[in-house]
Amino acid sequence: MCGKFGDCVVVLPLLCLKGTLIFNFIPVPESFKPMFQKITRSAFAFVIALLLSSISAYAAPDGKAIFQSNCASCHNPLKDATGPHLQGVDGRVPSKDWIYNWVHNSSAVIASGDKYANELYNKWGKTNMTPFPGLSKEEIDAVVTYVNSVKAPTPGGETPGATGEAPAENNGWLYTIITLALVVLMIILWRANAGLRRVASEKEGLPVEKEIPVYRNKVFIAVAAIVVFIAAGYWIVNGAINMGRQQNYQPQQPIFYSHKVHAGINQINCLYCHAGAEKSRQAMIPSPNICMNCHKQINEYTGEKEYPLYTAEGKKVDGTAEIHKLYEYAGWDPVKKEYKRKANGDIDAKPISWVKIHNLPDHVYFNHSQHVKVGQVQCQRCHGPIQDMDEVYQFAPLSMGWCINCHRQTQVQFANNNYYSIFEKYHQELQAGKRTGVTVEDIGGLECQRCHY
Amino acid sequence: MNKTKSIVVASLMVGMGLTACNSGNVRRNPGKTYAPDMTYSRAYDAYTSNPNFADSQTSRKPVDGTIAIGHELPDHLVEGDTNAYKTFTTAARFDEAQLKEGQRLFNIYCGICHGQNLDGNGPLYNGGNGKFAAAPANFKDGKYLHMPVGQMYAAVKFGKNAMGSYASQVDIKQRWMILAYIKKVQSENGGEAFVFGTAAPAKDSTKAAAPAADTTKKVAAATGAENNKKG
Repeated sequence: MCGKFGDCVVVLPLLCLKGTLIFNFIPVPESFKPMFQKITRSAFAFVIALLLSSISAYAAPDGKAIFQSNCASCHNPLKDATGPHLQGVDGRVPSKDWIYNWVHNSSAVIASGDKYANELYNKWGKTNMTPFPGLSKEEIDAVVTYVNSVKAPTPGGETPGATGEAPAENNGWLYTIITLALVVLMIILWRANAGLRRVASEKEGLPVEKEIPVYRNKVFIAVAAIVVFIAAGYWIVNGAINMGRQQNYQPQQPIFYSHKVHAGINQINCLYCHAGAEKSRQAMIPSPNICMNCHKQINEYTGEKEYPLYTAEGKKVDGTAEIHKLYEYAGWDPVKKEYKRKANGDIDAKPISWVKIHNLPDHVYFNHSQHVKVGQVQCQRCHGPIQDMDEVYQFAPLSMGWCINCHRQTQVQFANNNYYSIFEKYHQELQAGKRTGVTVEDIGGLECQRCHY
Repeated sequence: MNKTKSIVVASLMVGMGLTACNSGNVRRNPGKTYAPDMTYSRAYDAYTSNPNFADSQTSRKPVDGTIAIGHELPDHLVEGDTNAYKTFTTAARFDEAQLKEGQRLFNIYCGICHGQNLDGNGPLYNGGNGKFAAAPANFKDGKYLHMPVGQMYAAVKFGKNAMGSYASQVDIKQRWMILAYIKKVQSENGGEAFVFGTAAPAKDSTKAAAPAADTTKKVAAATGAENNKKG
């Protein structure tokens, strides 16, 4: 069986052209010919359909991914944020072309005197939307389709991110089940057909060839080998690319600190704790004394009813117990309401060993202040909807392609920014109207030595 | 038929094995990397655990008596010296951009309790319905309206009552920008005249002095001059 295996693989491509060719090379009983032809044809049609569907899935723009990387830092599908909510946007605006123009360059639309654009501009605090000239019409359409498909989270339910993903998953399972059912049906019909044929031949007194079991059928083995080869190759290549990337990494932290409760519900600014983000390379992990600014007073979690805390696995978390874990680290005595002191008068505190989530390799230099202070990039642009996360996960892939893409697309805040005053030529071009904006790429953001030195 | 059976069993086991690999949507493990010694720095980074120190922290405090480049000279306030607080002030003067920066910093670090309107009613207190039980200081209220700026500075640096120390979050320059902004707003709400503006207060006075009487203006000019002499 194995000896002829190679023949099958060589011959199979020819089979696509002419279904009968294979039978010249491999001895197959004459009566099986038409049946084999049928099966091989349908199997190939199936494999090609699979390939085509996967190719078209790659070609069609992924509205959700585009939305998350470009729009989500200012827009929510359902709620007004920095910008208006986007669900039903195609029904609100004057025309479809208006959306394209607005996304490509909103200030030009405003300048053209468009009534709706000016109303919008005035309503939203006269802030210009970042232009995205790189988005094609198909991509914008995909985003509109995506935001229209987002459903409101059920009250008391999970995070918006989780519910947003659920419909896509359900569809995938549905297709899998239908495909499997069809395959099973195909096998049953084939077996029935073979059985009937045998009975008929016996009755007519024709010689009956012994049936070859399916796992020894060379055509089947060849088809299966190719399918396995393609699937394994896809899996291996993807795995190799993703190795070392830690997107969605969500480690368990020593204290269940919910960013949703602090930055979301209680509206504490990110910089309140991460004060270093605009001063230094490190965003600064707050020391326990910063926690104690509030938690000297707030010694229990009162949101159990409205916002019960759950781990990512769905386990219930006692917020008050977590605050008391903090007291252990900070050396605070919640009963006496004072710090425990060592013999030499120092506070008896110990550092909290938080688990680092966003990890860049040693050969990449990243500086928070350069992005937050100089570039005026919002935290959420890279860290995602951090104000909705109970447990923080890594939102961005942190791959080089991801960095480069943002450096190509993002326009830096060039005007009134002393950090960029030395780029005289660009300032002149901007004033002369020769250029609409300056991207990070324009000021050397793609130079290797920018990040690798 | 034995072979068919064994094939069915084998495929079932493979399927079960594959489903067992899928541990749900939560990724608790960072996964493998190509070059672990590059991905996870072998040098001590700012937040890596360090066996050379008893508290295992790599980030150390600056050596006593040193000042980092670009940082302000230290103030020599001592915690608890309430007399020194009252006369303590700065020679620095702030232009409009710096006051705006002070406002931004106030909204980040102070506004959460003291309110972005400086009325002591930030989101955490929320008129007594918030998480924070103690009412934060209302800068537009009598007691705090006339508080010497040095006393406020001490509260930022060392903390006061329910308020913790903000020395680790805002540096000296930022503290004074915040305080200048507070004093500016107070001067517009019946407090002492604003003395921390830059030498060209033409814009400021037209903006700020609408309700203020002429007498306060003179006082402002006088204290401003004194301060300049001191500076």
